[in-house]
Amino acid sequence: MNHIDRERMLSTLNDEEMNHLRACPFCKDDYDVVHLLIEGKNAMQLIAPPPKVWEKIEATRDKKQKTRFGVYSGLAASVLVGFVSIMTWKTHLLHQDVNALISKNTALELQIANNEVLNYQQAKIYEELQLIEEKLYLNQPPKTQRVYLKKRQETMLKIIKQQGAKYENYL
Amino acid sequence: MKIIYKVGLLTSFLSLNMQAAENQCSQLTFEETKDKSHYQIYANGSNNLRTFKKSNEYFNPGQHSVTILKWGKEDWVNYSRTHKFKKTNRIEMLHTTKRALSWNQPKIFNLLINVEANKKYVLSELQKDQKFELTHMKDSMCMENDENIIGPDTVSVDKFTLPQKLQYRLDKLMAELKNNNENISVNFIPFTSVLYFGAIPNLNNKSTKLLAVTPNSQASLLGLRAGDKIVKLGKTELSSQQFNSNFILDYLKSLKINDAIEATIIRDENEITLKGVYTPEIIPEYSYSFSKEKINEQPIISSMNLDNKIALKLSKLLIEINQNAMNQGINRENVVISRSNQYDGKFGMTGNIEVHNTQSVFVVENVDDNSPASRVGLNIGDRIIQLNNKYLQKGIQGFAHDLSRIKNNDIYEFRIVRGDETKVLSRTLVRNLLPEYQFSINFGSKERALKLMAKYGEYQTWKKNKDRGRNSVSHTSNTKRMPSPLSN
Repeated sequence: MNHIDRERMLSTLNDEEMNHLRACPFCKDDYDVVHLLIEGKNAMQLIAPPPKVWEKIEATRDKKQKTRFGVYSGLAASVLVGFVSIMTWKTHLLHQDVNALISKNTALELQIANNEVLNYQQAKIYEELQLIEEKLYLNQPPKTQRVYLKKRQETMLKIIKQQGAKYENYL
Repeated sequence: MKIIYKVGLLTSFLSLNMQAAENQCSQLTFEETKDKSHYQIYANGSNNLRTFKKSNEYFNPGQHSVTILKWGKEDWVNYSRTHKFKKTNRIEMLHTTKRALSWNQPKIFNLLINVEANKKYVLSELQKDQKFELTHMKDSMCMENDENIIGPDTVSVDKFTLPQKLQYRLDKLMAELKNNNENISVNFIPFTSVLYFGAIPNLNNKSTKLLAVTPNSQASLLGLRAGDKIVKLGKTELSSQQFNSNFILDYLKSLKINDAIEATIIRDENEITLKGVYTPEIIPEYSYSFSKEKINEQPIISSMNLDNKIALKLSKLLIEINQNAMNQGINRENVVISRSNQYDGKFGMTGNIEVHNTQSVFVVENVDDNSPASRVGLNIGDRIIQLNNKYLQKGIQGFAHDLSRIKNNDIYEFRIVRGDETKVLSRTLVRNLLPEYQFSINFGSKERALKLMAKYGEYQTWKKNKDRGRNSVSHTSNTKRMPSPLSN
């Protein structure tokens, strides 16, 4: 059997087509892309696509030049809309994470009071904190910011844990 | 009448000599090399930025920092043709000629010279070596008035005791310094101002919203917190349309020391104005030596760049040492900390004593690299239950005491629990050696720096000149290379 026509994928497939879909990875990928977009559009709920989808998007771009413009331009537009939606949602979640971490960092910053002479180990933790802050200052993408804010949070917790300890625990 | 006249003359002659004899100063002459160079020399030992105006300068006895700018002759001519000079010989950007002239920046040398009273010296550059030497020529009575003598009398305090924790940190840092800069046995670092403010904006988002605020920094003292959005600094409104990633630094650059800082922020949808005073931290001049020769006996010490990380650690430690010195009432003096070779008394691990089934156990939380703890094979999470076949005493102090009693080259044994397994770790104790060194801090330089910074124009000129030597020997660059929010 030939590959399933992409326009057919928008309708309910018959048994023969379904069998082919199970056996043919090429058509399966196409089907995933198309249905991901349909589901996303209908349910307004985005799910992470399988990894091959992105490879497929690339491949689709190449093929677009060789095939009929109408269907593929529609598909490409849909893919683009889906892609942008997914990315927007992901970015939104990422920013939410970063903001939550900033709030936690704020709470910890307020608890750190450097009123005592630090011992060697405590000074090392402060150095660690400074290194993290230097990295955070560089023009970092939100993903990296999230990593460093998390590390900063852990380091500040270490400092707070050691604050006011009766005996030095660096032996 | 004649006799009275002669007595009068004799009296005035004697009083003049006595006045001169009261002054204790040394004379310094700079000798230019014959190559095509032009030198500008700044003596930083005075309260004012001061250049060598004439062939001789007079210094109070003691240590003085001097900055030398070495220009190529042609560069100097082009530079001076572009700038107009005031009578005081201070460089002012008053006038720019229409002709565009270019010049290469001068090389910068920071030196610490040590002069004795009533002696004449010549400061000269060793040919092609780019090193300077100070030669004692002859004894010379000080005939200068006080106002012509550079630098305050340096009061040296030899016995300066640091608290144990600070002393240990300095010892460790000096060991690191020695290992990382084996070729530098003597060094001098001029004072630096720390521009680290401690507010970290979200540059990726081109936002003035702060990702973090360093605890105990100027920003935190001002009241800034992570999450605050700065909308106005001083009189400057900040907008995301015209985002400038250096907005904090630019603002700070516009301030003089002790100026008011004002920041308007949005916090939890409320607009708040925070007010404070601009007081950047000053790291005083310091010098160190790993050689037997004492720092204050060395006629000249050239400043060499330090590894950036070590310079930063030293700066932070010096801020704490400075605070401690102020508590001891030492803030103008030149102090020297001398240490002889000694073994590092620490094992190189952190942890806590916990009680398991009525028995004390030391739970290892961190192990330093290249320490006895790492050499014996301790890992994070290990639980030490016995030391030399004896169960641990209650409390961390008891365990620390038992550890400190193990002598160098003694064989010792830990019984530990790692996971579900009990292990015995045994080794001969080889403690790390901490080096012999002298570390001299001139706390008086901090006061001079603050006065200089208060004179904004002169400080900017001084700083600009220092910046030119960024790639040569100026320590200022150490602070500048910090990838920190407000270093430049």
